Amino acid sequence: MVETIIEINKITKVFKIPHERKTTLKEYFVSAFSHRTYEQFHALREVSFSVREGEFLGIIGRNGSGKSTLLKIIAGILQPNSGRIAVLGSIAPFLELGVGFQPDLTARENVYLYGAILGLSRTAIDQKFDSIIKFAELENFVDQKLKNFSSGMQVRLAFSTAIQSDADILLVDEVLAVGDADFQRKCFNTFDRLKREKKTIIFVSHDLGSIERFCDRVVFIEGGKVKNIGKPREMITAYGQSFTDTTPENIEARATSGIYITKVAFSNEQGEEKKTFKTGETIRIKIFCKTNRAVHNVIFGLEFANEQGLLLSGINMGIDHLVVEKVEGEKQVEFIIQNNPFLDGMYYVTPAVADKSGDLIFDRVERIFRFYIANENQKKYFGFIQFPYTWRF
Amino acid sequence: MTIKRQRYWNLVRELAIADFKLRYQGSVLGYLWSLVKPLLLFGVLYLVFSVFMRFDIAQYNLYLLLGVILWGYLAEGTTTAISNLVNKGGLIARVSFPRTIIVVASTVTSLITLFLNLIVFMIFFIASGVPVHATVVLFPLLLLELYLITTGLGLLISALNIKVRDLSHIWEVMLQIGFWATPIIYSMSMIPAKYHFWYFMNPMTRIIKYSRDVVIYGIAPDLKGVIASFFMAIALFVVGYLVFKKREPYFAEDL
Repeated sequence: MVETIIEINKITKVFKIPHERKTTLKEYFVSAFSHRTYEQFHALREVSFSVREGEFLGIIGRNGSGKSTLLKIIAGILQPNSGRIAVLGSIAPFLELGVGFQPDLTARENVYLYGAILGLSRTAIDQKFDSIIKFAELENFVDQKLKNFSSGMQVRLAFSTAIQSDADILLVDEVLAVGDADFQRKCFNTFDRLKREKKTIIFVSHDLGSIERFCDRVVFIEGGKVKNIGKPREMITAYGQSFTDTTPENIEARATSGIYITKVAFSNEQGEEKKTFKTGETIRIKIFCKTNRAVHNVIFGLEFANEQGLLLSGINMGIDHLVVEKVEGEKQVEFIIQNNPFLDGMYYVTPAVADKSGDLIFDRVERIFRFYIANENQKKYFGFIQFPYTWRF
Repeated sequence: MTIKRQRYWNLVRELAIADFKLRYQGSVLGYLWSLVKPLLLFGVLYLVFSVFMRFDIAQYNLYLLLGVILWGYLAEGTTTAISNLVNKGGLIARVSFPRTIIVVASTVTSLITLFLNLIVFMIFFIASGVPVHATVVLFPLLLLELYLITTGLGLLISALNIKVRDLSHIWEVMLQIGFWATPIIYSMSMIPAKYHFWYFMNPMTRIIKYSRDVVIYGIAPDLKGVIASFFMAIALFVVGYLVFKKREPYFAEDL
C-alpha cells in the first residue's frame, strides 16, 4: 500500500508587485496621498496533485511557469493565498545548494553550519564528516577558507553535506546544472541510491534527460496551472509540443512574460528548412516570437550546448551592442552562422529574449530546439568543434 | 516535537558560533575588540565624570562599568538582531525554519560578548577590594530579565524593519537617547523625584539599578520592584514574539 506523503489541494499564489516598492518611511508617507497601484501576478492557480511515498516526482515547465514558487510553498517558505497543503514527513529543503555558506569560514566550519541549516545535529556531522569531505574530494582543503574555493568545489561540498540529510522528502531544484562531468556522475549515483532507499524526491529541472532518467511521474506546469501529470516520456513530449501550440489559452498562459518565443526554425543558406547539417554549411536560425503589447529595447540571445548540456557558446545582442528598438505583435530574428564549426552530433539551441538591461528575461527556452550535424565521411576530428588552423614546425 | 526542538537549538548554536567567528574576521585584535570597545567608552566617561566633574557616587568606577556593560548588551543584541534578519535574506528565501532562530542566535552571540565583559568587570571588582555580597546570587535573575528585554525588542523591531527599513536607523537614535535617559553615568538621586515614575517605566533603569545594588552594594532590591520589572520584561518579550510571529510568513516575500 503506497501512502500519500504530500497532498496539494487547490493552491493559489498571487504576488502583489507594487509599481514602486516602498521600504522607507518617506515612501510610505508620500504614497499615502496617492493611489497605491499593484500589479497582480498569479504565480499559481488552483494547483492540485499528490505525491506518494517513495516516489521520484519531476516538475517541468517554462521559466516563470511557477515551478520554483510551488517548491517554495511545499518547503513552507512561502504561504499560499488559498488552498491547502498537507505534508506527512520531514522535508530537507535544499532548494539551492550552499545557502548560508560563509566565505570567511573554513570548509569544516561551513559543513557544520550548513548541516545545522539542513537539520543535522553536531554529533551526526561528527560521524559523517570524513565521508562528506571524501565524497566532495576536498581532503586537502578542510581547513581552508571557503572564499578560496572554486564554485565547483563549493557545490561539491554543499551537495556532499546535503545528501547526509535524513529527511523523508527531498526537494531538489536544479542542482545538477553545475559541477564537472565526473561529479555529475556521482550525483546521479547518489540519486540512484536515494531512489533505491525509497526516499521521496521532488525534482525540478530543465534537464529533461535526467527528468526522464529518474522520475516515476512528472507534473507539467504551464502558466501557473497543472497542465498534465503522467509518465516522464509523455510529459516531455507534451512540454516540447507546447512550444508550437498556439491555442488562445496557451498564449494567455505565456503572455504574462511580455514576449514569448513561439518557434525556432533552422534552414540552410537558401532558406530551405531542415534540421540536419554538414560541418561547414551555413546554418540560419530564425527565432519567432510574439507579444500582445509593444515592448521597447529588446535583446535576443542564443546558447549552444551539446547533448550532455555542456555550454559551448553563448551569444547575445548586448555583447554586440545591438538592440531591437521595438517589438510589437509578431517578430522574427535571424541568426546566421557561416561555415558552422560543429562536428557530428546533436546540439541544443537555447533562445532567449530579454530587456536591454538584461535584468528582465521575457522568455528563455532550454533544451527543446535542436539541430544535428552529420557528415557522410567518418569524423575527422575529435570533440565538438573544428576551426581553421595551420601547423608550423 | 523534541527532535524538531533539538534541531532548532542546534541551528541557534551553529549560527551564533559562526556569527561570533565572523564578527572580528581579519582584525588584528580579534575578540579583544569586544572588550576594548566598552572599556574605551568606560574610560572616557570615567575621566569626564569622575576626574573632571566628580560625581559623588560610591565605587563610581564599578558603578559606571556595570551600567555601560549592561546597556551595551541591549544595544549590541538588538542592533545585530535587526541587521541579521535583513542580511540573512538569502537563507530566509530558501530554507524553511522558524525565523525567530535568527534573532535568538543574535542575542545569544551577544551573550558571549557580555560574559567576556563581565569577566573584565570581575577583575576590576576584585582589584577595588569590594567584598562579595550574598545578594549577588540574584544577579543571574536580572541578566535573564535583560535577555528577555533584548530578545523581545529584537524580535519586535527586526520584524517591523523588514517592512519599513527606517526602523533600524530610528532604533539607533533611540539607543543613543536611551543611553542618556537611563541612569548609567549618573544616579537616580540626581533626578528630581517628580520624574522618578517615568524613569522607572524604563525597564533598563530597574535592571541596571538592581544589578548594581546586588553586585556592588549588597542591597537586596525591593520585591515589588523586581516583580514589576519582571512583568515588564515578559510583556516586552511576548509582544515582540507575537508581532514577529504575525509578520513571519511574509518575510520571504518582503525581503
